[in-house]
Amino acid sequence: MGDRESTGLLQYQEFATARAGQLFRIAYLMCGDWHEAQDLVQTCLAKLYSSWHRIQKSESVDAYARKALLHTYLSHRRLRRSGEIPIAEFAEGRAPGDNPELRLVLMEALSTLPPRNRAVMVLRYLDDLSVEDVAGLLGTTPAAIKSICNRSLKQLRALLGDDRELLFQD
Amino acid sequence: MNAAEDRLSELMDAATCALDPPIDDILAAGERLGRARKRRRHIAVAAGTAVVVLLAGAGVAVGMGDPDFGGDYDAAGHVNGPSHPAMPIPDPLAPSGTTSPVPSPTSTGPFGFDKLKPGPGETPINATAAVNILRKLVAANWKFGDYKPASRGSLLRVDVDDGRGISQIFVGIAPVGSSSMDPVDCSLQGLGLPRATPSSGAKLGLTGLRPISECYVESNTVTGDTAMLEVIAPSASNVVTYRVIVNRRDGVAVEITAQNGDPGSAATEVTRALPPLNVEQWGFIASSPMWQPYVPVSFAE
Repeated sequence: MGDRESTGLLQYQEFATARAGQLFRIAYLMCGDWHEAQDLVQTCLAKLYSSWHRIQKSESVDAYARKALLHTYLSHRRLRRSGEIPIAEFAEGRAPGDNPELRLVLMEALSTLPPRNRAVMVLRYLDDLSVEDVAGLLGTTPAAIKSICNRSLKQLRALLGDDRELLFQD
Repeated sequence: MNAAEDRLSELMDAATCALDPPIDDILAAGERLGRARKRRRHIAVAAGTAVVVLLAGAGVAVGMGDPDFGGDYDAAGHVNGPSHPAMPIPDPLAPSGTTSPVPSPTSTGPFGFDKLKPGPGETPINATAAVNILRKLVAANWKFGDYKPASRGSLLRVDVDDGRGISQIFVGIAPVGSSSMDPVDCSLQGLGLPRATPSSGAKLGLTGLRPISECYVESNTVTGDTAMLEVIAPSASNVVTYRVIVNRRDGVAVEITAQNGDPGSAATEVTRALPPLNVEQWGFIASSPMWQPYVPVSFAE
């Protein structure tokens, strides 16, 4: 392995180590499945690894990683949509408490959103991206993203109900 | 952000801050997959170049539009309408241009098994029997579509659905060493080269030009079977093919191909991310002793 290659590998490893945790959190909230989230992040890192030489020179590696994760997730969803079972109602008695329970409630609410909308919400509110950045990742307009956010927030508020009213009051 | 949006951010953060994913495993897997991806890309580029060169050469040698070459071609060499799948199972009854043993034209046994005779209550294996055998070897919830003998006289072509999308399955059977079955030798499935060394004047098939992502041969020291397992991912298509050929010790060779879409369709038209199971599991299925040239009559009806 040449010097340039080994330097590139080190840079990749440094980036991957620093960002894998956050990418996993994003992936997990997007897909709602622990193992699928691992697959998504692995695939995303594989894409990064195989194109590292090119992307580290051209654009923000962080943006590339998010884009790779997003596209991998949406493409997984497209291929799996026929087998997906939408959740019509919440199970009773899931009062939010500590983090695991809070997580379950949030995951159930998010799972009722279409994949693209779910991705928008996670990127916007967990990863704290601007409306413009999310629009750029999805190849759409900021107005479309704002509209998705408004509709999705309304839906989440309705689903989470009174227990979460305080969290979602305007 | 307004208050509701701020609250959602906090909620998401609180819900995920305590997650403890296996980062080391993910990093290791990501790097391993990335390395394989990079290697595949290099292979695909090299193979794509070879395909272009060989297609040009083969076009001159056998003439454009030769139906045996996979369909009609336009001036640019694009396939207009393939007459058979990209990976057909070779016709065991077709005359061979190779130096391998050729089935006798007077043979009466199925698929080249000339020396074998049916036992009592047995009949030559057919597509129905092959589907019935396959049903017994896969999970009970798999759904089978219409089936028929695969093109050019081989055993079976069937669409199956394991609940995650449709996949095309091809099955072939022949005596070990028959010219109708590819040899169990990865070096003869070479990139950009014909699968087996053709004799002078033999036509190249498209299947002989496809890039191969991975291929390996393994021997089972207990059963005495030898299997070649291939994963094929052409650069110009999203169709992934798992292909296994098992040479069993009892003299029966079985080939099974599973694809995640129709290789004759547009490059992006796949029905699922990957074919069902994995190539090792298909190898296990192909090595089942249920695959025989003669099967109980009840299987074939």
